[in-house]
Amino acid sequence: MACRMKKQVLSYFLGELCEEEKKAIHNHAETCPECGGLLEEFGEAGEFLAKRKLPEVSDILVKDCLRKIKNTARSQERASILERLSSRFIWRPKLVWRGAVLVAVFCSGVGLGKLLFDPPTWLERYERTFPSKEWSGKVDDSRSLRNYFLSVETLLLDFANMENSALLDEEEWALEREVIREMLSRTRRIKEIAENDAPELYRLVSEIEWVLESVLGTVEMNLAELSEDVRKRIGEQQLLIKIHDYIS
Amino acid sequence: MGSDDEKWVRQTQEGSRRAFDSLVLKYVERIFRLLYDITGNYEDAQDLTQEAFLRAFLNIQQYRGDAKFSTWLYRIAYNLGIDFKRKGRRMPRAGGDFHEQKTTLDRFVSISDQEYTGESEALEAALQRLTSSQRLAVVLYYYHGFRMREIGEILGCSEGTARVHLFRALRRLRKELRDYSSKV
Repeated sequence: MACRMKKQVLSYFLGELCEEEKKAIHNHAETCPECGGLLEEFGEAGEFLAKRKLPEVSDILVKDCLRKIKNTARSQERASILERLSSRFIWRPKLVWRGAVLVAVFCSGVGLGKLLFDPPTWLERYERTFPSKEWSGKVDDSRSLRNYFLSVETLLLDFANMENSALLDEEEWALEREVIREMLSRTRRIKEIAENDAPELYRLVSEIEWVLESVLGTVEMNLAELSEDVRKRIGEQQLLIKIHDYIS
Repeated sequence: MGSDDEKWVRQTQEGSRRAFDSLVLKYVERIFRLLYDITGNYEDAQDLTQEAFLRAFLNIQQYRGDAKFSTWLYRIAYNLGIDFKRKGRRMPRAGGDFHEQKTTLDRFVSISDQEYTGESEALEAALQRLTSSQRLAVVLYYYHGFRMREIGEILGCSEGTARVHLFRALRRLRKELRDYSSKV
């Protein structure tokens, strides 16, 4: 039959008992072969265990542990900063509005600055007003400017050679006036565009404007007189030659 | 919990990584030895030691001081080691040659039977033949200085069960090592 004191023998061996209890177990073990044998077994096992060579820890392991913790702490810090930033700025409607206003002010500033310090050329302004379908930014490629001059030339030549044409009725005259007015209006806008930085174009367009104004003023005259008037004005200005020179 | 541990844990919880470094330096050797006793393999024990400290660092805010910090840390390491062992033992069942896929611990034990002749080697072999709970009860008591109540906390069992593990482990060790001595 197992001795009831066995549990106490282990406690005795583990040094968990007070002096009085220790004495009691010691005395018991001397008379109980089972408990005496246990104490002997534990003692021997303890002696073996005391001789154990424990594995040494390498410096590399220590460094690796510290490095891993350091890297983890850094990534946690970064994540926490991002979280704080997002909670502070991104999801607050007031700040979103402030941000939008700041961006708008910045963009306007950039646009204004570009306008003040890097204004568009006359040709760019012209192309914005009368855009060509495929314009590469060069004068020669500004098809709408070229077309303008060709239209002016055709219109003036038409009027200059009208003397032999059939008489125009009121409705036809109204249409002719409308064509001249439209051409005059376009001419004036080109003149505005060219005023500051395209002196050659400005001079030419001014002459065209003067001729067209004259034509519009005398369009009520009979055709023979009108043609004569147009030819005279074109000739005085050598306008057609100038147009040809300009567009070539 | 030691006063230093208490201070370093509090500082770590307040955001000081350097305080945790002090805890690493204090416990790295003990945790490594514990994991070596669980896995029986030097390299595995090294990898798991790093992992154990990383987990402790990441979960330090959850530590409330109910148990000693060392007990809490050992519990993390013990769970990691046991989990690793379980996964390692499942591998051979997936197919292939069972003998080729034996765990390092199994190889260690089989080699020890044939080639280990010294007393310390015999002790290692005898320790490895114990169940993991018996082995850990012994090493935690003898080499890590824990009380039986704390050993129960680390192993996830009652103090009484931990005492039974230690009781059986001591008797078995003594028997095996006596047999070895009589053979020599």
